[in-house]
Amino acid sequence: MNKPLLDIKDLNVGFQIDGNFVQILHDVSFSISKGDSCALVGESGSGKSITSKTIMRLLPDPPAKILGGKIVFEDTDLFSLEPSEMYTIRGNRISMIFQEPMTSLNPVFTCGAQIMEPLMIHQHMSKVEAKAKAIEMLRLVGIQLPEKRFSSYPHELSGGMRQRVMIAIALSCSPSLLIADEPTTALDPTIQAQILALIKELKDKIGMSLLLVTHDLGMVAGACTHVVVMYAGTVVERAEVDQLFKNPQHPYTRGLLRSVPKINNRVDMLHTIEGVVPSFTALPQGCPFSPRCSQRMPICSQERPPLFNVKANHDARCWLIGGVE
Amino acid sequence: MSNLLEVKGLKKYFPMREGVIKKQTHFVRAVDGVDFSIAAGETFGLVGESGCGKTTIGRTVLRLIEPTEGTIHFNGQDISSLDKKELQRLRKEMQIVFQDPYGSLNPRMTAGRIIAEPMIKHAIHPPKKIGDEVNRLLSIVGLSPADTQKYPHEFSGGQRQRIAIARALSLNPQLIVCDEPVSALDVSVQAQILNLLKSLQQEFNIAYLFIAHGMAVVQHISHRVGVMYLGKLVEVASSDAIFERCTHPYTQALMSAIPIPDPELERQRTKTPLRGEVPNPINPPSGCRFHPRCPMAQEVCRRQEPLLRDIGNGHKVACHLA
Repeated sequence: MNKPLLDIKDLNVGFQIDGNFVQILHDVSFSISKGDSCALVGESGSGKSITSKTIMRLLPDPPAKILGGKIVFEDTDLFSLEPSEMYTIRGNRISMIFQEPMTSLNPVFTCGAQIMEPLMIHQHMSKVEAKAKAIEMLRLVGIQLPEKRFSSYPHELSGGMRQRVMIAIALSCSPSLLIADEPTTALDPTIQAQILALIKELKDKIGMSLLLVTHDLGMVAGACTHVVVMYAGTVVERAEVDQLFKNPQHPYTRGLLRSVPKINNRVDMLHTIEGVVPSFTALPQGCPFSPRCSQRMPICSQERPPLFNVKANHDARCWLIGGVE
Repeated sequence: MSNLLEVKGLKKYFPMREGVIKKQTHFVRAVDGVDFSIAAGETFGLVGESGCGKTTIGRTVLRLIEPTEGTIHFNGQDISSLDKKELQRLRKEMQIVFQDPYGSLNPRMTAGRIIAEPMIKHAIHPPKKIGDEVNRLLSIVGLSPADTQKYPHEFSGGQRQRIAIARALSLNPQLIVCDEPVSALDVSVQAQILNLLKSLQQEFNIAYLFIAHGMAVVQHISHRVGVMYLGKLVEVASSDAIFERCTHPYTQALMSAIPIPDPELERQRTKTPLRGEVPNPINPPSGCRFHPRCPMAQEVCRRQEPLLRDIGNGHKVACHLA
């Protein structure tokens, strides 16, 4: 069997908050194979960004603490690495782009200098080589007049252009995994479509895998092959994209899919999931979704369900699937 | 047919000042000649990308910003010439809900106080009855009377937006300007708020001017939709017409930019992402403002500005090729 590129097993992460310890991630497991694009979907407070930052080892310890689990990337256990060894992976083998293109670029350096930096550090290029490569990257991400834009500062560019520069930085070392954390949320709709199309195109060109962190199910349908749905710090469902949209198993996934306004299927009233996402400091007993679930059973508020296998490559964390004796 | 709100030739130019003596150098043409109307109990959606002037329109309609040119009639009365006192009386009839439920509620007031304030200010109920009225409004928007004593920070984003809606409802307005009311909310909460707005409209016959950048949301809630580009309306039509036969290339691009949450449909769709970005409204392109990004631009588009004209059944479009 194919070994996955990234394999996350039973990840548990918590934070020290005001003297109390709060567990955020509970047994998060999923994997990404080479060339796949996997979506990590959830609402705010579902733990999706914490998961992606844990992969990059970007969470400050303290207050964050990894309680258990394993992240294996290209046969390397990321938790066993020294910080200096992590530097050789971060920005080189795994890259990340963030939601906010305004604040993720350094305002006092030119765009060109910021693309050259990883090339000189990771690929040991000379200044001249790095400059040539940086201009090539700017051209690759569709920036007009790359030679001129090379010496522009971030404030001289629009939001869409800045996100293109971010992508150029992230892809400069040809990583094997790109983590894109809400890469288009802050952008206008037509620019969103441009950036998403660009990420998809470059993914195939470079032959990397993609972890797309998003709350937008529409984007998932268009860009990804696999989907992982998170709720309150756990993976509630994971499946291939067609399977998940056609045959969602977890009541939360179903509710989420039905509450999006669709242009191809207009309804008078949208389906809603009653209530709100629980706070991590006051997670309900048993299944964290149970207080909002319309198909709640007695066991749901007593015991946390495990991930049940629905069929090949499709699992859901719900007692409805496992069946109760 | 008389309209609740009638906007004609609305323009808003913001002066730009530069240099040490702040000399006025040029204008940002945020809104540049816009006509539209809203009937009682109707939802008119305004959609467009950032900088197209949709928020400016929402605020000029309430005269939170003074228009540069044009007229705004509300219930047949021209409101652009009203003085402060008359305007205040009118404000009872038109309210606003903002995008950011964190910034639009005073953090030092309780929810009850926030909702009561407009009623006290306009003295529409005897002071003794205001408490009951606050409780009634809270239950209408799906909160409980026990929430009156809580402060904004104790509520989630969706609940805060419910408080903002209760505040807007407190004066029984005929029109509510909703400026991106769900953009900051999560998907499942967004659906709750959209449903709430719809059912309130049915119950109280309120008209909405619903402003958003996402086509799917606007289309869901609106009866009619106006699409804006660089300070101009480029297409106005019923929601169904926009979906079935939108004519302006910009509207078509906006429609094709909406991702559909269905992988099979997504693969079948032919997508033509727009090239380029929205130009600077200080110096908009000649002729049709959309021509530099338009896949179908012709010579005439560069020279002559297209007018918004009716192509049947109230479907209006500003394009030479339509």
